[in-house]
Amino acid sequence: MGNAPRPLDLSLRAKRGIQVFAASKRYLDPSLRSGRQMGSVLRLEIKTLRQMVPVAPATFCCERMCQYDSVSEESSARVSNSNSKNNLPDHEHIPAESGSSARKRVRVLLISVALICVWLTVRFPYEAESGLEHLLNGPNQVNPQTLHLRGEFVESNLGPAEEAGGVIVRMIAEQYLFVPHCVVVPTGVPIRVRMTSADVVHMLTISGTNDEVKVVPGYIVETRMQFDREGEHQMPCREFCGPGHYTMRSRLIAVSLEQFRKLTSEERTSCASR
Amino acid sequence: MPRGRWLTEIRAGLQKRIGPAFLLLAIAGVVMGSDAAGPPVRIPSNVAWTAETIAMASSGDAFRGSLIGRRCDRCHGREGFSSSPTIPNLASMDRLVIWKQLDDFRSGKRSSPVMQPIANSLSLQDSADVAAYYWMMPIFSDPQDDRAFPQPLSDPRHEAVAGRLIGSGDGSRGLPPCQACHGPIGFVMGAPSLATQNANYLLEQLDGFASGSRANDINMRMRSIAMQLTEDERHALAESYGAGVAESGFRYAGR
Repeated sequence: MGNAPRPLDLSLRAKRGIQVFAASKRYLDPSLRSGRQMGSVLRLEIKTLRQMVPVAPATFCCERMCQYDSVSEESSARVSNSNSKNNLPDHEHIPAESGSSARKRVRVLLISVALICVWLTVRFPYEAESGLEHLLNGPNQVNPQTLHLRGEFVESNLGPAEEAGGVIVRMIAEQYLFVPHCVVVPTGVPIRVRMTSADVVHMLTISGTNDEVKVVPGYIVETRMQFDREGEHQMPCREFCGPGHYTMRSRLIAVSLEQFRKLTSEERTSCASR
Repeated sequence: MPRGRWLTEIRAGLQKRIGPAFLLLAIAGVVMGSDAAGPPVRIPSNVAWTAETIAMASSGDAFRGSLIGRRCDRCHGREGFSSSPTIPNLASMDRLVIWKQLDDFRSGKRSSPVMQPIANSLSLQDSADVAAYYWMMPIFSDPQDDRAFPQPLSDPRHEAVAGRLIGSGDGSRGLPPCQACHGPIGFVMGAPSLATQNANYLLEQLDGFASGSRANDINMRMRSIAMQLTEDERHALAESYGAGVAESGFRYAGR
C-alpha cells in the first residue's frame, strides 16, 4: 500500500464512460472546447463519481487494481481487509454446507421446483403458452376447422350465458360475420368475452367503448368488459379480412339484468326483429 | 459434499415432495383439460375442412364419376342443368360443395326424402367421383337441352334489389355481399358458385336457412344472413340468380 495514488486508475469501463460523458459535455457546451478546461471538468467528474460510489473500487474492481487504489481511508481499509481475508486459507472455518438440514431442505425444494418446471415444459411442448399458463388459464388453442364439431365453440354454446360472478359471451369471427350476429348482454355485470376465428384474422371493436380485441385463428382470445348504461352498440371488424370486410358488423345490445334474465337463449342471440 | 449424494438427494426429493406435487398437477391438468358437461351439443355438419377432408373430397375420378352420374341424369340433367327449376344445377359446381352436401345427406344433417337414400348408397369415394364429374361439366348454354335456366324475372325491380345485395351487401345490417363468398370476386370453403343456379331451388334454400329447417351450414354462416333478409329480398335474390344476372358479376361491384 505504499504506492503513489493513481487518481485515474479506474476500470476500463469507467474510463470509457467518462470519455463519452466528456464528449457529450463538449458537444453541449462550446465553452469547454479547450483541452485544459476539459481536463478540469474530467477531474471534477471523476471526483463526483467517487463521492457518489465510494465503495465501488473495492467492490467491483479486480484485486490488483484495488491495491493501488487509495481514494479514502475507508476504502483502503476495506481493500486491506478483503486482501487479508483472501490470503487466509480459512475456507475450512466456514460452517459446512452439507451439514445443515435447513440448507438441505432448501436445496431439495429448489430442485423439485426446477423439476416441476421441466415437467411443465415437457408436458405441453408445442403450445404457444407455457405449460404453467396452460395450467393456470386452461387451454387457449383450438383448431379453426373443427370449431363446430367439438369444444366450447359448438353452435349450441355460442352467445351469452350466465356464469358465476357475471356473464360469459362466446363468439366466432368468420368471413364476414360475427356469430352470433347479435348479442344481448346485461348492464352492471362483468362480462367475459371469449372469441376465436374460423378463418382469418379479424378484430372486434365495440362502438362507444374502448374495447377491441384481435381475433386470430387457432387461438382463443378473452377480454372483459362491463356496460353501465343500456343501449345498442355496433361491433364492426377493424382488420381487413377479405372482399366482404366492410360489411362485417354485428350488434351488441345492453339491457338491464332483470330484462336479460327474462330472455330465452334464442332471444339473446337473435335480434333481427329489434 | 460427496458427489454420489446428489443422486440420492434427488431421489429422496422425488419421493418426498415432488411425488404428491406431480399427482396434484396431473389431476389439475385433467380437470382443466376436460370440458364441463353442458347442454346437448348441436353439430351442423360432420364435415370439417381439415387437410384430410379436402384431400378426400378432391381425390375423385371424373370418369368413374361420369358412370355413377348416369343415375343423376333424370333430375339433374344430362349436362348438369336440370329441367325443373326446383332442382339444383350441378354443372361446374365446386367438388368440395357437392361432396359436403352428399355427406350431410348421408349423415342426416340435411334432410331430403329424395337425396338421403341416394347419398346413403354412395361411398365416400363415390361421392368424390361424382363431385369431380360435375365439377368438370361446362356451363355453356346448349339450345338442344331442356334446361330451365335461365328463367325470366317476374318483376324487373328485383334485379336492382338483388344487384345491390349481391354486389355490395348491406353494411347497416351487417349483411356481406353475396359475391364475396359465392363468387366471382371471392369464395370461401364450401360455398357454391350461384351464377347458374335455379330460382325456385335457391328460394327454397334461403327460406330453409331463414327458418332453420336447413341448418347444415358450418358456424351458422348462411342462417345468420338469411335470417336478416326480408321475404322480398329473398325472393328478389333467388329470382335474379335464376335469371342469370350474376353471370357477369362485376356489374354489381359498385352501388
